[in-house]
Amino acid sequence: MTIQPTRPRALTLLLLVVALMASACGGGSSEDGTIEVTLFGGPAEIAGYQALVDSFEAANPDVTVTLNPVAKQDDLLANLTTSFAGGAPPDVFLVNYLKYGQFASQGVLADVQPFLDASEVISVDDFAAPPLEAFRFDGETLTCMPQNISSLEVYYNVDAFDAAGLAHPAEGWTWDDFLAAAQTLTNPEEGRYGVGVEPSLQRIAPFVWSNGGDVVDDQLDPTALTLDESPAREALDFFLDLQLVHGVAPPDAEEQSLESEERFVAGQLGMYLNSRKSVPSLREGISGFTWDVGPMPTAPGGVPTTILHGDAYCLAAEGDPETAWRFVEHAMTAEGQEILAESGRTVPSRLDVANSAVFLEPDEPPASSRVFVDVIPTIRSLPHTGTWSQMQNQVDSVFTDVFYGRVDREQGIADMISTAAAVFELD
Amino acid sequence: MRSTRSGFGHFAGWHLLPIVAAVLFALPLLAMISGSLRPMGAVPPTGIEVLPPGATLRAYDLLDDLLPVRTYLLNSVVVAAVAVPLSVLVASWGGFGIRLLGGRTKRLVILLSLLTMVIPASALWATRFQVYSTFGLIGSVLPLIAPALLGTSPFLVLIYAWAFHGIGDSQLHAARLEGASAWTMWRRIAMPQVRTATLAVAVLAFTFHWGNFVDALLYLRGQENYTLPLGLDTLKLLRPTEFPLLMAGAVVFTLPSVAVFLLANRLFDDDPLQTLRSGTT
Repeated sequence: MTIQPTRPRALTLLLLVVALMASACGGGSSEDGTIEVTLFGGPAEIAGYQALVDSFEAANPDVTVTLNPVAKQDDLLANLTTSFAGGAPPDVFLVNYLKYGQFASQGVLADVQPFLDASEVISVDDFAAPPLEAFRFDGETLTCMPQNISSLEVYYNVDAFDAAGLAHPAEGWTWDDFLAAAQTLTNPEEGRYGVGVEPSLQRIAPFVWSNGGDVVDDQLDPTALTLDESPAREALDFFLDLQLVHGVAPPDAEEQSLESEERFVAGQLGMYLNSRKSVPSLREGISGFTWDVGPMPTAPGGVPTTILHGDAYCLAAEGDPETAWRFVEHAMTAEGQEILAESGRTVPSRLDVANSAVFLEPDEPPASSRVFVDVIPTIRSLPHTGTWSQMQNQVDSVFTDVFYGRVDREQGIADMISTAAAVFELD
Repeated sequence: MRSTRSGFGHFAGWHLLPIVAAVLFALPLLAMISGSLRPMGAVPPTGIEVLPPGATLRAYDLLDDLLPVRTYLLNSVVVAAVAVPLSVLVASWGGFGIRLLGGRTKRLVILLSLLTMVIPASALWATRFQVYSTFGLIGSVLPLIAPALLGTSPFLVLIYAWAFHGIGDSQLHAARLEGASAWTMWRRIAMPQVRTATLAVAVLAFTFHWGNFVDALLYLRGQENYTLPLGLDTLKLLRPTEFPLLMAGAVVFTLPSVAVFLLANRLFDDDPLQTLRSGTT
């Protein structure tokens, strides 16, 4: 049962009060050395952020940080849109590069560029280039400060590869190698499948780019999805065929009964495509076999490409950006990034930390963590416009139907393109 | 209204069906409790098990280390302890007010109440945020209690309005002739006659405030102010092998509800089912 906690006369009164206050009300954030930091993550990550906050407060006794952790990124967005609309946003928040556009396009963020330029502690050269590019909303000025540079890679069951006599995924391996390995490792009767991948634009994109195609017509001002144009369409078909023709990806019912990540942990999946964020659960869950990570396969005659998975700290213009920047600056020092790298979940955006033993952890699986650093020059990103994440949600839902064969392929692709066009219109 | 059926029909209707329903509703509770006792890292069970092998309370200890659950629990209890009585009070005042209104006005007010019920909750988020922000309440648990000042929901007000209709006009007229104020009529005549409604409103208000996730997500700041629904949401991110922790969190979340329900039964009547069946007394 949903309850709307209002009574009619009281509602009228409430509306009156709101109308009166809307005119008189200014920003709600304090300037007394207290900043609010809102971010998302599971219990272990929150513990990491708390450690970061503690180390910041120890170094800056004049500032108090209120940490507002929420669980999921959807929760974060509900919280952020409400607090921005209500005029009291958090001073700092952590957000994915595909989702900050809806705030940047409203002009409610304070650019970090001038702060970074003036900083004596960190410099733009300390950081990997792809996330910096993704967080330049207008293509020139840095809007938010990238915290990590994760990317889509291939986790694989080393024991299963060795038992089947397959070469391990390595730089330069192709779609053909990828498909052949997936076919060898698939045995539906035993519930074994070759590859687990979430059907989404984020997962198709690196295939499209590797094949020399593009996902949209214009990176900074997209007006159409171009997945129906060759060579993008070839890549899309290669992706769909994994499920619809070759049957090497778990079908609908199988995926729903045991999600790919759990299937991989259970040793029933040869390869699993995800970003760095899977590492803590794979470390925790896998005990019976050896696993590792390799780069994305390259299209025949194409270029090695993968896709950015990255978050950044954004500053609310209406908050206290000066104090907030001091927190972000601290989080961006080697010390700050090492605290978060300990969780194993993120690839630090600082190149020195990403290249250090703190991240590479030679004693912990995956043995080839270096892949995440090696692929940095091949990382590309999707557009980050105001309506992008809304478009992506809608298109992904259609694409999921196509991938699992619930709707016809041609019809589905046409739907994806018209759905996207309708949302791009709103920009 | 008593059943006049006899034999098997009577037995099935009054005992068998409730037993089946009770078992159906008890099973998830039992699964939750037994799940919380499983050792960490074990493969999740495929069927139902009453007592897992190697049952342990370790998940509850770990839960304490993982999240400030005690703080969350305390905040939730404070919210419910203030908001539920307040809701009952305000909703009953609202309902009694509607009862005292005359024909057309009453219909209009009831219609308006129904209309406010169809406003989507999300339409109120930002405006409420602004109101709370103006009064400097953002961050504290006060925004979670504030809806109780409006009776929590028009639905609760309408429950009372409906219940008060069981009180005859003659009774109220007589009281008024004796010089009783609206306050006295509410306290001495109306409330004692609608105990079942009070029970229902209290339980509904409790379930709303206890499970209030959205308001907590939007208006609370700082973990020292968080309530249990936020903690439970975080626990949902745990991996399948850590589910005993999630289940332990769910037990901590659910047991107070069960306790409140059982306590409410005892507080209001020795045989609440009988009262519900026979309507307001």
